[in-house]
Amino acid sequence: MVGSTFISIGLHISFIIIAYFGMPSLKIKEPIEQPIDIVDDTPISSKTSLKLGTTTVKKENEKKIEEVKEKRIRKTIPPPPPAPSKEIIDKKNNELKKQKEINEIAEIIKKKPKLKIEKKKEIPKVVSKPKTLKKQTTPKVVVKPEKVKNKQKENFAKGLLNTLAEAKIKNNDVKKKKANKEDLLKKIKKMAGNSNRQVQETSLNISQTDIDRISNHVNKFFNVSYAASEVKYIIPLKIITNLDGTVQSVTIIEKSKYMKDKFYRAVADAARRAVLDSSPLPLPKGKEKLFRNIEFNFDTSFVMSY
Amino acid sequence: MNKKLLAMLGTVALLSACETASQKVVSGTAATSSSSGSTSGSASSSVDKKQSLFAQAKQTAADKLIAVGDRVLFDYDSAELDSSAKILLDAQSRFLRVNSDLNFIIEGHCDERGTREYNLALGEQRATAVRDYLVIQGIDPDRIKVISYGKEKPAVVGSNNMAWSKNRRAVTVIE
Amino acid sequence: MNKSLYLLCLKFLVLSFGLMTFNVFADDVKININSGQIEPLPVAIADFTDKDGNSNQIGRQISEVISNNLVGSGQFKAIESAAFIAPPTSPSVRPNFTDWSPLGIKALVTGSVKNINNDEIEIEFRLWDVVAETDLIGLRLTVVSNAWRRVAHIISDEIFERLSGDSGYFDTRIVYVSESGPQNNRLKRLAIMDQDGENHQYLTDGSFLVLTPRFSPTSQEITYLAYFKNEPRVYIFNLETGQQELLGSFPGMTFAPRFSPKGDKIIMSLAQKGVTDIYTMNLNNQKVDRLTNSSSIDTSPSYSPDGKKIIFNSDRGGSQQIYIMDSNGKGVKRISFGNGRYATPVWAPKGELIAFTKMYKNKFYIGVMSPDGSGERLLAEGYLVEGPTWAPNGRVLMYFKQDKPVDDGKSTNVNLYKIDITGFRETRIITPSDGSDPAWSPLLPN
Repeated sequence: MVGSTFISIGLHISFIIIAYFGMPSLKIKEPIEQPIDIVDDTPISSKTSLKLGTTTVKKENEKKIEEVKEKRIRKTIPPPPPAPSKEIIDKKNNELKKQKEINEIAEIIKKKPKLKIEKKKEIPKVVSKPKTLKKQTTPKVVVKPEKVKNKQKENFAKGLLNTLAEAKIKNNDVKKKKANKEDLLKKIKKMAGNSNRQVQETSLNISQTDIDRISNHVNKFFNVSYAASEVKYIIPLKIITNLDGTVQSVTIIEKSKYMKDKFYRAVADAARRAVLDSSPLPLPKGKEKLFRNIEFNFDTSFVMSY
Repeated sequence: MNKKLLAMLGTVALLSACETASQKVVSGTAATSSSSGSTSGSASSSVDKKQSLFAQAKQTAADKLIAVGDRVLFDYDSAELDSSAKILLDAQSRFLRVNSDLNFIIEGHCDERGTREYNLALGEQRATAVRDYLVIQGIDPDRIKVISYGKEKPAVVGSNNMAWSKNRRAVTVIE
Repeated sequence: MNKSLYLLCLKFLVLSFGLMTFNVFADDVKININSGQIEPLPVAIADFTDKDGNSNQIGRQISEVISNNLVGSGQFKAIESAAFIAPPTSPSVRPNFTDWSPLGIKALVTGSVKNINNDEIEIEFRLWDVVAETDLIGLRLTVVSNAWRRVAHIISDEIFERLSGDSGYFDTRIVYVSESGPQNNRLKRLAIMDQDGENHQYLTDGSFLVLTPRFSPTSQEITYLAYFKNEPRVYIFNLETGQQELLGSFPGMTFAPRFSPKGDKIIMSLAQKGVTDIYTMNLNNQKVDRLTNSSSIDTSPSYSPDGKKIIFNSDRGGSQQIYIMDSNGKGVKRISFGNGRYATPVWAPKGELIAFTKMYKNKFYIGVMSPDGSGERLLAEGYLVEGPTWAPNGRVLMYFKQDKPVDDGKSTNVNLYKIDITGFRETRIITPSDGSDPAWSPLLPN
């Protein structure tokens, strides 16, 4: 009885810890209906450690950039989005190649049942997990996690193989490398250690390509003066988009820095202009909902200081 | 001292015979002063005459100084007197000794290939080098002042080695 | 007991699961913007209006001064007034942003000039962000009517600072030496003007040689070298009273004067007996301190903005180089090590850079470097360029340039130039005749 009390307490404490670190601000959950004119009314939500974590001192440049990268959504390698006909043809070719590879590798796996695919029992990184869960709740997901170990293993392997094959094909196209079966197996072993919830249907992930497209679009409109090199922080701006990519609202998040630091203020204004000028944003088709809430992190490191 | 004065008057008398230009200046002055008032006429004209004589004497001395050698030249960024400079300054020191009633100023100059403030300092070094040498030759230091003009007053206008070498100079002038 | 424990674990798992789901809906997509443009920002300065909302002559003049200032800095692009499709509005009225945004204008300035009393005017302005459709700053100033130019400069500084973060440099003056005549008999006069060349005035008549004027950081005074009565000495000129005063009484030529950062001392060189050393003189108690004691030339001293260090020019090592020392003369160290000779070191107003003149292989350069001698960058070059002076915001340098004479014997042109700290936008300053030895004033006190 005493033991169970302790377990209970332990579980409650760990739940509280998870809640504290995992719980985001309620305000973010609801889309804020704001006309574009009013840009400064949203009060800052300064309670989330996630937010605070994104603005770091510029002096440790590399460290800061890496931290931001970690908060970026980790990528699985996705298939390309629906595109003009030329690409569809290529895609079809790739698919065929893919299937061939998968069949080859599946056979290898059948022959070697001793693949050490570890199931991680701990909860993986917060950042990557939501994605996979999201997939499971949307209707388009094809495969659900199986209860039976072997079937799960096989499907898991297939999912990995899909993505792995994709990568391989890309390599082939670019570098004309020949596939080494042993290399594949090694890759599988490596990737197996990462997550045990990879699902092969990945079309609803936010891909690096999606992000890069938006980023490259916005930075064309981001215009600063040389004084921007004096800004020691990344400037986060919160954006809410409509499904057509138009910017519904822009909010400068760090109000106190905006008030106190005139360099920050000038560059934040330039960032806000950049976001508004770049509307509509090139959101990937079919995934617009995923980009409802965007946080742009404007980094002025590219400005040489004189 | 008296001998010198007589000698000076003698040379002035000789010069006045052919120096029409200076005579004009002198007469001009005499004319204006005589027209200004009859009572002071004769007195002022004699003062003027002394002044003009003195001016003429000075002019003569200056010419002589030029003839003896009133300037030495320097290498770039240097205030050192070379051997030819010293020879000239030996002659100059004799002139200074002879004209012991006159005082002198040594002007130090630079060429344009330098910055303004540093050149002022360098000019002062050049002038001082000449002064120190003359003092060693026995000239009373109180008779010699030093001034630097840096690169402000070139003797030869031009942007070539000839002009520049002529501008790197220390010139002795009568005060 | 086992069942309750089992239920507990289940509850825990379900709740954690739920939390993660919660997270899913709440997470922002994070996108980094790591690059951008550094281009002049398109702005429009509408003519300032009178109390009836119509533009008047003085309104147009004010907006023209502001526009010239901003464009001259190189950081802004102005749309010509004729291209305005909307009439100017008073600053208290929210403009119709859709009139301006199609032209690509990102910021708009509207303002008004109203006569109040006999001799006073009230000038008001507002800076708008055309893209975000909001106002950024606004200000109202009351001045005597003939001070409208200064107000235009003050407004320019406000706009510049709000849009870039840097303070401006438009409400400043330049003191310099105005030159004319043949090269071997130059007429040199002290002159002063607004940084845009307006309000030009001569301070001396040219009957005596004047060189290297510098502004006091704290008072309306300048210090300079004058050959007054054939004795080259440092003087102080009071711009308000027009009085010139000899600084101390020294046995030799004093020159190369500068004020200390607090304006309480003059630091300068004294040349005597072939040696030039650095001295300071306290303006309050006339106390003189000797800072260097070498057998060489030590000149062109310049204080750091905090007053703790001094950089200067010395040939103690055999050639003209830049040295640094503590303000008490101790700890002398050489800091220039590049090819060639270095001169005229000047500390930047924010302390992070020093500017200098460099001579190498028959060419002259204006450059900057860190106070430890690293990061040397050459910005301008010429047959003869010399004497950099810093704008108070540390982003622009002014200096003078002499062209190589085409025909020997012909007098050459000597003019003032300014250049960005980036090395771009070298611009000639138009003066009534030739000019040299410029010195930039601090921002004028209100």
